[in-house]
Amino acid sequence: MQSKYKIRLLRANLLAAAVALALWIPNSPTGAAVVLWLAIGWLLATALVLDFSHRRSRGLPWQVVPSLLLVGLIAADPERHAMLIWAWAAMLMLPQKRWVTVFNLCGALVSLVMIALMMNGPAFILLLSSLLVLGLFALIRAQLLIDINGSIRQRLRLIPGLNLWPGEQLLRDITRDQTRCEREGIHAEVLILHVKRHQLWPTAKKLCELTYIFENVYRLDGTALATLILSRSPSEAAQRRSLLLADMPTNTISKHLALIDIKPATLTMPEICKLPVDKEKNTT
Amino acid sequence: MTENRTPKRLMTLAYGVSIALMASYAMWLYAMGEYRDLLIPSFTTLLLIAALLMHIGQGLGAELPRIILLCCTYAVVLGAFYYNPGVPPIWLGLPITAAFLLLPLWAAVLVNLAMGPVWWLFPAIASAPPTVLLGYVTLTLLLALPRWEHARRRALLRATDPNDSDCSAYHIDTLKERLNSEYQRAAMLNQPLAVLVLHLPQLDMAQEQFGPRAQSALLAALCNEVNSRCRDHDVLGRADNATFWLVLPDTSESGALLVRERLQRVLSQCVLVETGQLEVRITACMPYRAENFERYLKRLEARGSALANA
Repeated sequence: MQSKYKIRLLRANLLAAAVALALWIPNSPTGAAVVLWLAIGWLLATALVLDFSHRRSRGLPWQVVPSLLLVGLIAADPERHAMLIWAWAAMLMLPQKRWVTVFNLCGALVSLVMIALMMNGPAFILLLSSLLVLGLFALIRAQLLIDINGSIRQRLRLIPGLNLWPGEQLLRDITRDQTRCEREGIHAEVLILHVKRHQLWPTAKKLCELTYIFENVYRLDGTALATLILSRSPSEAAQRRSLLLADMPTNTISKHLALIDIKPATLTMPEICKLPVDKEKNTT
Repeated sequence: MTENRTPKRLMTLAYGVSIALMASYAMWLYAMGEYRDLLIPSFTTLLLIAALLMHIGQGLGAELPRIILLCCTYAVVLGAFYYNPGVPPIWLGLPITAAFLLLPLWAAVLVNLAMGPVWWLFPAIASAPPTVLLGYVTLTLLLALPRWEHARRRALLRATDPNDSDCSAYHIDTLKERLNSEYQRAAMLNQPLAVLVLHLPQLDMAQEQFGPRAQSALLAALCNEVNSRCRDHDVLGRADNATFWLVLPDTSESGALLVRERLQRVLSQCVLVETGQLEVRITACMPYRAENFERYLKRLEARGSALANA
């Protein structure tokens, strides 16, 4: 519950910032107004897209977009938007990749040069050095959160409360469950589903609902999901598989193979999608 | 440990650079012959040196030097606006930004709200165009955004990381979930299930007498020994501050008692620097036939508190 509350406050803050930017639009020249609309659009889009999961946090360096907008805002009307120069500290506070940090520092320098035309020399040097100190403090703030990338990330579940795990977890689970199933005399198989990119998350949610609580679901990449199905015999497994596939979206390509046949020692993430198995196309 | 050291060093550097900046500002004022304005920057330079020493010295909270730095920033900017009406309003942004960087989010928002009307008492700002007011509001809102994002990521990390924050055992939510899934699995595949309840009686004492390092050493010793002696699919989780559950799938009661004996023997051979011999109380707890999961959880919790009071 508390986390939902945090999301809501962040969303309210994004909307308030959009409103504040909208108030600048009257009396501004056309160029500045266009950039202001773009920035408002970005804030609103972020507020809409925001959710409480790891779905979007991997991959794209989205921090580049707001920093381009910030450069744009300051360039469009350096005199009125000069105050926004301090917002670069906010950009540097975000946890980001190293090259994005360098990009942001360059952006800050460019916008500082634009403002420099209105200031005298010593004031400019003072501004530059204060921004440097603030930037250093901002980078320290960001550093505290950087551990989200790295090893913790590979064991995190992707959506809170859902039995959905990153693909690296499957590699670990395969080794563990092989010995376990052998010892307990259970038939286990890995079921890999290839779906359309836009169907991935709804399908993953559905798969989590349809499988037992002790059967994990894994996201292998942008279009592939996997799950470990446990049953007492191969025939029971086949029955369960067909039941599961009946509820999956059309055009799902599925593969399955017995857990015993996998050689875990040599397996890596990309290989897992290309394992030699009998394919079937689900067209129901 | 190493992750904590880098920000500490960087922080020292940041304090050092701020002192240099403040001192050169004071010297510049001196060179320009503005002796009246000189008072505040030279006094804050001394304060900042004190803050740096506080930061380097251990045992003091990290908050105090930050608050001193923020107060100095405010004092210098207020002083500049007070003595020179000609200072451009862009400098208004410096204390706002410093507040968001140095204080917790709520404190920063409150400080900026409270200081808002104060700034407009100064002629330098009161005579400025209304866009400055808009700039103040917008900047405050924009600077709050990354802090919210931090809060969101931290909450997300807590909600999705299966491990406890102090040791390599599952935390209570994941533990209950894994226990539930093992319970369902055992029921479906008709297998026995056993849980060992482990209690560390020395843990609270270690925290009080020797501090957090002794406590984490105890926790690490327990987790390492248990994780290295057990099968890959046995689940170790922290049920309570000093109580752990070890879930043993496909294990009968006699098997669980064997594991208990083995762990008891191995753990009692563990000797730590501050707390001495590792002391552990272990008991086994099996689900009854057709017992519902909630009842079983209650029974496990009761078993844990009985061990703590034994």
